[in-house]
Amino acid sequence: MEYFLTEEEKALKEKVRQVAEEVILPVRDELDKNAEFPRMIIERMAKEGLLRIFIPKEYGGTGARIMDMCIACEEVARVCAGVATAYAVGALGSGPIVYFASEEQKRKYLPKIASGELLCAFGLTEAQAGSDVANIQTTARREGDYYVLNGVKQFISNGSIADVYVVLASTDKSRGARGISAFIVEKGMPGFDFGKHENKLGIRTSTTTELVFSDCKVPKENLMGKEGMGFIYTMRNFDRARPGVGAIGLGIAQGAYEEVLKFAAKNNLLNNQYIQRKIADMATEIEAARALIYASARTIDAGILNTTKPASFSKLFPSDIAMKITLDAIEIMGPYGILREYNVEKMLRDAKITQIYEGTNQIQRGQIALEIIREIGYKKE
Amino acid sequence: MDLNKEAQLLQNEIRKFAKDIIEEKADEFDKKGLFPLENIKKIAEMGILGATIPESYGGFTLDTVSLLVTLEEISKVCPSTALIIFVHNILFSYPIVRFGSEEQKKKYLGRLATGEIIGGYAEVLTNEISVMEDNDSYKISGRNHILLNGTANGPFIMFIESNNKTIPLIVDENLLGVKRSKKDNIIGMNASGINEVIFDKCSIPKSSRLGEDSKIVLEEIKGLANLGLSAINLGIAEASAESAVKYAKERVQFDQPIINFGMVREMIVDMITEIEGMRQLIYDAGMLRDNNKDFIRASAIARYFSNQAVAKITTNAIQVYGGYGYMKDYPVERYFRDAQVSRVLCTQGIELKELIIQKTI
Repeated sequence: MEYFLTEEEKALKEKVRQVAEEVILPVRDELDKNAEFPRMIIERMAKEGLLRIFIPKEYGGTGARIMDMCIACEEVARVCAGVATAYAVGALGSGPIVYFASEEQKRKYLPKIASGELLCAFGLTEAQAGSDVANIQTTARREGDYYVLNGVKQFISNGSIADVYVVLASTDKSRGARGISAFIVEKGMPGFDFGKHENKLGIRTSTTTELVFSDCKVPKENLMGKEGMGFIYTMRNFDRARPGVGAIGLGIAQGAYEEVLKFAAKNNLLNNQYIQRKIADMATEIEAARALIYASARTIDAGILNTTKPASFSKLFPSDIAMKITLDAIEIMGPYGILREYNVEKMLRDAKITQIYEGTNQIQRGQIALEIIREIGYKKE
Repeated sequence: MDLNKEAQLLQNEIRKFAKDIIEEKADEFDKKGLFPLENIKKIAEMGILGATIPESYGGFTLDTVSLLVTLEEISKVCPSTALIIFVHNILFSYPIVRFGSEEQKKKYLGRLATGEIIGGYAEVLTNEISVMEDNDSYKISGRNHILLNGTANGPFIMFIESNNKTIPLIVDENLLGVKRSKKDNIIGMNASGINEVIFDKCSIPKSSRLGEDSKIVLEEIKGLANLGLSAINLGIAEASAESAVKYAKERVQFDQPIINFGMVREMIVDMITEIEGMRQLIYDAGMLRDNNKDFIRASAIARYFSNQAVAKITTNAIQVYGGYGYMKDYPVERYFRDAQVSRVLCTQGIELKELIIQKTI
C-alpha cells in the first residue's frame, strides 16, 4: 500500500531495516536464549543516529515525531521485539523530559540522550499500581534542597541499564493522583538501587528490573515541572508512546507473516485455500494496523489537543493482531512452528507483551470508551 | 458431565496424586528441562502405563473415558507429564496392541505395562529423512526434529515415506545408527523429554513394520491421539482458567478485586464456556469409542475446537494476570507455552480440517 511517506521517512525506514538485518538478525536467538541486554546493538543504533529521532531538533535530535518512532519501532520489531522494546523505552523515558522538563533540565539531559551517551527509562509501575497507576506508594518527601524518595518500582524496562530515570512518586498522599510528582533520578544517586531481575516469557533481551529507593536523595532541581502534575505528565507521555507499542506489535506481525510466506512457499502450500485465507487475512490486518498507526501518529504529530483516542487505537488493534497472527503462524507451521529455528515461536512469546505493557488492552478499551462517552455528552441519569 | 462411578473414583485418585506428588516440582522440571523419572515410576506403579494394554500382556486396559480423565487431571498440574503418559499409552503401546504381530506384542507389551521401557513417537516431520528400501530392510538417513519421550531412551514408532507409501515402523531402543540429542529449542512441554533423533544409514528390518494397511493404522492412532491431546488441551485450559479466577479474586486495583470488572469477567466467562464445550465434545467422543461406535469425526471435532480454545484461554489467562502473567514466577506463561505444543502435535491445521470435512460430506 502507498502510505505517502516523505523522502526522510522512507530513508529512515530503509536505514532501520538495514541495521536490523545486519546487526540484530544474526544474534537475536542468542539474545533471547541468554536474556542478555543488547548493549552493542543499542550503541550501533545510537551511532546510526536512531536515538535522535525521539528528541527535538533544538536538543540534538531530529524532531521527536511519533511517525518516525513508529516507522523505526516497526522495523526493529520485525526482526526482534525485544531489541525494539529496549530501543523504544528511550522514547518512553525521554518523553516526559522533552515535554514537561525545564529548559535547564532539557539542556542537561536531552543532547546526551539523543547521542546515546545516556540511556533512559521510565519508572512508574509498582506491585500494587499496575493498571491502577494512581495507586503508587513510592513517596517523595521534601527535605531542604532535596526530595527523599522511598519505595519500589516494578517491571521497569531497561532498569539497571539506563542512566537516567523519570520516576513517579507521591509528594502528597492525601491528594491521590493529584499528589503524584515526576523526578529525574540518575543511576548512582545515593539510596537508588536495583532489585529483582525478571525472567520473562518473551522480549527476553530487554531487561526488566525493580528500582529500589531507600532514602534516596534527589536534588530539588530534579523535580520535573510542578509538584502534583506527575499523573497528568504520565498520561500524556503514554499518549505519545503508545503508537510505538502498536508499531512493535505491527513489526512482530509483519515478521511472522513473512516467515509464514516463506514456509508456505517452501512446502508448496500457497495454492491451498486454507492457507490463502490465512495469509489474505494476515496481509489485510497488517495493512489495517499500519494505516491506523500512521494515521494516529500523523494526528498526534499535527498537534491536536486530545490524543487519547488515537493513541489507544494505535496500541490496541496492532497488538491484538500481532497475537492473532503469531498464533496462526504456529498453526500453519505445525510442529515446525514450535521449534526455535523457525522463528515464529519467539515472535509469539514476544507478541504477548504488546497486549500488556504501557496499559493493558483492557485499559485501552476503557480509555476509548470513556472518550466516546465524553464526546457524546452522556451523563448518568 | 456425569462420569460413571469407576471413572469418578479414578478421577479422585489421579487428582490427589497429581496434587500431592506431581504439582510440587512441575515448575522446577519445566525450568530445568528435566524428565520427571521418579514421578513416571510412581505412575507406572499405579498401573497407568499399561492403560491401553490387555491383562493377558500384563496391562490393565482402561476405557477411553477413564484414560481421558487421567490425562486431563495430570495435565491440569503438569502438561509435560500428561504428554509423556499420552505418548507412551496412545502413540506407542496402543498401536502395538491394535496392529502388532504376536511377536511384537510379546516383545514390548509386558515391559511397557510395567514401565520398564517408555515408548516414544517420532512426530511426522519427513522433510529431512531419506529412505532406501531393499528386500528385507529400510535404510534411513537424516533427522527428525521431534522425538516424543526421546530422553526415556525407549523404542519408538515412526512413520516413513517409501515409494509414495506411508509406513509405520517400530524403531528399537538400541538400534545401530540412531543417535538422540537433547532438544532445548521447543517452546513448551520442557519436562516431557523431547529429543531430536538423527539416523545415520540406519537399517530397520521389515519385520519392524507395524500392521498391514498403514492407512487404517494411521486413522485409528490419530483418532485416539486427537482425543488424548484434546484431554491435555482441556487440562491446560482448566488450570489456566482456575489460575485466572483465583488471581482476579485476589488482585486489587482501583480499590477492588479485578474480578469486579466487566472486561475481566467477560474473559473468564469465555474461558469457562469454552472449557465446558471442550469437555462435552471430548467425553462424548470418548463414549462413542467406548460403545464401539465411529468416533473419528467426533474426536477430530473435539480436537479442532480444543486446539483453538486452549490457545485463546492460555493467552487470556496471561492477560488477566497482566504484567505478572508474563513472568516465569507464575504458572500461566508455562501453560501458554505448553499449549502451543499440545495443539500442533499429530493431526492439526489443514489435515484436521480436511478430516472433519471429509467425514461430513
